[in-house]
Amino acid sequence: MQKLKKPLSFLLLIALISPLLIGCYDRIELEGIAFVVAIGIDKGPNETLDLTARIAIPSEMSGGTAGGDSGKGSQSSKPITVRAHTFSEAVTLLNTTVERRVSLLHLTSILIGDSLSKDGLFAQLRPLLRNRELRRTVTVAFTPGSARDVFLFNEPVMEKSASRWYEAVHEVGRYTGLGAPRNLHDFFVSIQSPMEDAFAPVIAVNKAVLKQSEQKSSGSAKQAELTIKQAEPSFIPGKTARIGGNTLEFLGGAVFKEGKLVTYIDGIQTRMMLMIRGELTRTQMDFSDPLEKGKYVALEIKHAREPIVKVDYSKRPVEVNLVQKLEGDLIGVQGASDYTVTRNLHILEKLISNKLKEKQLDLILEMFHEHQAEPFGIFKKTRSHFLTMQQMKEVDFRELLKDAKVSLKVDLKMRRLGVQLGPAQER
Amino acid sequence: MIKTGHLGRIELLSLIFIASIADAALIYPQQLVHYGSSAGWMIPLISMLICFGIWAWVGPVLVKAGPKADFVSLARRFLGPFCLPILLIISIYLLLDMTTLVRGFVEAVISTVLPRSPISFVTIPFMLMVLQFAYTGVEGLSRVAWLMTPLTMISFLALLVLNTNWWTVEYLFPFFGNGIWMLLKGGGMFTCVFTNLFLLMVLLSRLRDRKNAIRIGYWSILLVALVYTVITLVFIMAFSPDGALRSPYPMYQLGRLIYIGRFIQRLEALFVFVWVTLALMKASVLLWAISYLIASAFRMPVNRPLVFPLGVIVYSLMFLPASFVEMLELNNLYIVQWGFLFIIVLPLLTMIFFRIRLKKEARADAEVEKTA
Repeated sequence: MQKLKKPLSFLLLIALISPLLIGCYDRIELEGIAFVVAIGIDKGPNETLDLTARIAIPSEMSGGTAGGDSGKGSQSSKPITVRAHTFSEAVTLLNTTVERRVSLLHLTSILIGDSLSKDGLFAQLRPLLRNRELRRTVTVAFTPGSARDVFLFNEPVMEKSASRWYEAVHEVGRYTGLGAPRNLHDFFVSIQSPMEDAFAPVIAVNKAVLKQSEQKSSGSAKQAELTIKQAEPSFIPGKTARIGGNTLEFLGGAVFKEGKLVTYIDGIQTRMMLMIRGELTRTQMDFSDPLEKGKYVALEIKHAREPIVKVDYSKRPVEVNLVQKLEGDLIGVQGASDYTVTRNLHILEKLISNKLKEKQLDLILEMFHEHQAEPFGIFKKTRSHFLTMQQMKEVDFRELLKDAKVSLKVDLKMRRLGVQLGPAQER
Repeated sequence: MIKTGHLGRIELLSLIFIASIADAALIYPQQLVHYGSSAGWMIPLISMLICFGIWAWVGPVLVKAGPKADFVSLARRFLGPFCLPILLIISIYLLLDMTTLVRGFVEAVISTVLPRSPISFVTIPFMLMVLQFAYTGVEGLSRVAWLMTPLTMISFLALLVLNTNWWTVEYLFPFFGNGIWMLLKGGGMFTCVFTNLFLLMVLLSRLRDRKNAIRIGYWSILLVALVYTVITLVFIMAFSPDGALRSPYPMYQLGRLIYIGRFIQRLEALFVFVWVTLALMKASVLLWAISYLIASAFRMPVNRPLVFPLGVIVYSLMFLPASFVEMLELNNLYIVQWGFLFIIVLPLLTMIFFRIRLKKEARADAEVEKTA
C-alpha cells in the first residue's frame, strides 16, 4: 500500500487539475466570434467618429462565387457603420448589430477618411496602440473622400477575401512603386519620432469609373458605349483614365506633419519619394525618347546603392545634399532608335537622370518649403550628427525646412537591353 | 551549513544566468530606454564593466577564503551580531524583488495573453510551481536551468532575427542618447539586474571545483549584459527610442511584430512560453535564495520549512499595489533606483570587511607559526 501511495496521489492530483485545464469555464467558440477584417474611420459631427467595419463570413470562405468585396459573393459582410465618441465605444456599438462577439484579432487593414486625417488623427488613432487585439502589422491607408465610400464601392477584380484583398493591395503598391505601403507600426514610429514625418498610401474612388459602373448596372450604357473622357493618362489618385476594373484605385500617398495630413501626392511623386528614401523596389517607368520626338522608352529602374545623404547644419539656410545611384534595364522602345550604340545609351542615361532629378527636386522643395514636411527620411539619416538627444531636439527642424537648400545628383547606369539588341525594322 | 547538494559548473552558470535575464522580457528594456534613450543599449555594457571590476576583486577573495567558504559562511564567521541584520536586509530586498517580479509577470500575462482571467487564477498555479521548484532545491533548479538555457538563447535569437525587417539603424543615434551622465548613472543603477554575482557568492561553496567560480562569474556577467544589450538594441531599432519608451513588454511586442510575408506571422505565443519559463525560474531561484539566507541567518539546519511561508508572504505582498501602474512606480522608484545598494554595494562592503578579517587572521596565523 505504501508503494502505491505516490502514484495514487499523483493520479488524484491529475484528476483534480484536469477540469481546470480544459478551460471550458471561459471558452470562446470560434463560431461565436465575428472577425473584423477591415475598418474605416471617418470624422463624425461634434467630436464623434464613424467606424465602418467589414466582418469575415467564414461560411463563404469554403466556396462561393467570384465577385465583389461589397457584399455579394464576397467572403465578408457588407460595410456596417456606427457613430461613437471613441474607437472602443464604436467597437462595442458594433456588437449591438452583429450577432457574434466582435473581435479585432484578424484585422488586416485600417482606412482613414479625409475629414479625420486633415483634422489631426492622433487622438483617434492613439487607442489603437493600447488595444491588445490589434496588431501593429495591420496596413494603414488614407482616402481623399470618405472611408465608408471606399468600403461601399469596392469591387475587387479578383480577390474574394477582404483580408487578402488589403494584403494584396499592399503588395501591389510595393511592386509598382505607385503606392507607398505602410503598416500601423511604421506610421506611428514616424509620427512619434523627431526629424521625420509620416506618409501612407492612398485608396481613392474613381468617380468616372463609378459612373460607368452605375450606368452599366442601370442598363443605360453598354460596355461598348463607354469611353475614356480624359485626354491624358493620369497618376492622380481617383483620376486614372480607364474603363472597367475596380471603382477603387490604389496609387499615390498622403503626407503628414505632426499627425495632420498636409497634402496628397500622385503616383509618380510617390515613386520619387520612395526613390529618395531608397525604398523603391524594381519598378517600370516611361520616359520620352531623347532620340525620337513623340516616342517613349520604358525602363525598369532599381537602386544600385543606398542613397547618400549629407546635411550641413552649420550653414544657414541648411544645405542638403543627396546622391542617388540607380540601375536601369531597357524594356521597351517605341521608336527606331538604336540603343546598342553606347553614345545613344549615354544620352538616354543623361536625359533620364536629369528628368528624375528635376521631379525629385520639385517634390522635395514643395514638401520642405511649402509644407515643412519631411516624408523622405533625409533628416532621419542625419541623427548621427548629434551626440545627444538634447542637442538634436534643440534644432528647430521645421524652421530649417522652410528655406533648406537642396542639391541632388542622380546617377543612372543602363545595364541591360531586354531580350533584343537593335530595334525591329519595318520593310 | 545547510545541505544543498553539489552543482556542476555549467549548471551553476545556467542557473545564475537564467535568474538574471528574466527581467529582460519584462519592463527593464523600457527602463533602459528611459535612462539612455537611443543609447539605452549601452547601459548594460557599462553595468557589465562595473560588475567585472567588482568580480575581479571579490572572486579571488572568495575562492581563496577556504575550501567551504562562501558569502553566507563568511558572514557567519566574521559578522557576529551583524550577520543576522545583513542577511535579513538582503533577504528582504530579494523578497521585494521577487514580489514585483511575480506581480509584474502576472500583470504582463493578463494584459497580453489572458485578458479575461482573474489575477488569482494566473498567480496561484504560477506560485505553486515556484514553491515546488524552490522546495526541490537548488540542485534540481540548476538542472532545469541547464536545460532551459539553450532553448532560451535560441528563442531570443529567433525573435531578434525575425524582426530584422523592422530594424532602422538610425534610431540608435544620437550616439550618447540622453547624455554620458545619464548613461553612467543608468550603468550604476542597472547593476541591480546582475543578481548572478550575489547568487554566485552564495552558491560558490556548492561547486565541485571552486576554481571554476572565477570563470563562471565573468561568463555570467558577460552573457547577462549581452542579452540585455541585444534585446534593448533591437527594441530601439524596431520601435525608435520614443516608441520603445512607451512599450512595457519588449519581447511580447517584438513577437507580435514578426511579419515575414503572409505565412510567417502571429508567432508571439511561442515566445510567451519562454518568458513564462524565465519568470518561473527567476522567482524559484529567488525564493530558494531568500529561504536559504533567512535559514542561515537564524542558524536553522534546513531551509525547506521556510519555502511555503515565504511563498505565502510573496503572494500577499504582491497584492499590495492596487494596480499595475502602482507596481510599476514602486519597482521603478525603489527596485530599479536603489536595488544596486542591496545586491551589489552591501555585499561588496561586506566582502571588503571579510577581506580585512581574512588578512588579519592570516597574519595572526603567521605570527603563531613564527612563535611556535
